[in-house]
Amino acid sequence: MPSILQLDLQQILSQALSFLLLVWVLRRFAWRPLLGMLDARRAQIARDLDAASRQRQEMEQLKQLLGRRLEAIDEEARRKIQEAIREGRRIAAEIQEEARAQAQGILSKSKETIELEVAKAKVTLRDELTDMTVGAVERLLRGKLDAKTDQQLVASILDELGSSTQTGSDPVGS
Amino acid sequence: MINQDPVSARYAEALFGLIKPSGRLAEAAQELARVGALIRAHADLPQFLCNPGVEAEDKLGVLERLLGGGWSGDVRAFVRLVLSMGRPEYLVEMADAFQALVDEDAGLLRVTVRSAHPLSAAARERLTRQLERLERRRIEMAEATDPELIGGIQVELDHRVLDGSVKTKLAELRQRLKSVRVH
Repeated sequence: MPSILQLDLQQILSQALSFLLLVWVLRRFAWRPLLGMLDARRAQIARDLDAASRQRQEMEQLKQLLGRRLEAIDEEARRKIQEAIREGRRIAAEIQEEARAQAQGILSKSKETIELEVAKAKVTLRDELTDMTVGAVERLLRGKLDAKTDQQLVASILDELGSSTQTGSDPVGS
Repeated sequence: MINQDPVSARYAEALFGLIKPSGRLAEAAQELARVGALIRAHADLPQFLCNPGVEAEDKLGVLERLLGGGWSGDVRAFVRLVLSMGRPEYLVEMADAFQALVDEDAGLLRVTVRSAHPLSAAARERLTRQLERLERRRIEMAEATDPELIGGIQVELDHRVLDGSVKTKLAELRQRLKSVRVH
């Protein structure tokens, strides 16, 4: 029975020769392209890393820029809000002043109207009182002034006429 | 002198000049006054007298019949002239104007006295004297009673009015009171 550790020198030599031949073929035809691929890959990775770094920097810059822009926008918004508040206060003051002036005008006009109405009422009252008084006197005289009293009245008129004819004044009305 | 229409005044003056020499002014004034009163009394008469289709002679005839005659030749001729000249609408005013001329010639002033109650004889006499003194003319007074005056008298002479009536005094009082300023 052959031993499993029995070495076949010929086989060993042929395998070693085949191995060396393989190494030589690999070294001759595959080693350089493989290294070239590895170098290319390394370079690509380095470029990618640079690009990532640049992008990160750009992102940082963009972030700072955006931050500043946002601050500026916030400032502008605050400024506009303040302006709007001031404008609103100014308009409110104007409206208030206008309303006050209008109210003053209405009040003044109302006072004038009231004064006019009071004056008219006084005149009406005066005229009505006059009509009532003179009307009452007229009714009283119509009832009380009899022929005898009328004769006395005529006599007094004639006295007056006589004195005026003596003094030369004109007693005659038109 | 009462304000008169110039046409009436002119005709009245012509008649006055015609009649005055005869000394019959008062009678003529009376006759013409009757014509005026007749026209005033008949509402249709002015329209008839103004009708151009009726002859002046026919109009005169109607007037004569209504008056029953009793007018002098001068007055009749005057009325005939007025009718033929187409001025019948002025006849009443002509009668008044002629009466005024006659009164003036006689130094007479006709006044109308209105009073609420009839005047006593003494008051009438006194008023006449005072008016004669005032106007320096003889006064012929016509009286009228008007209860609306309430009391006092109202004298109309020419175109003037002497107003001593209670009604006017009350109206003046009312006017004065209404002109008082109120505060």
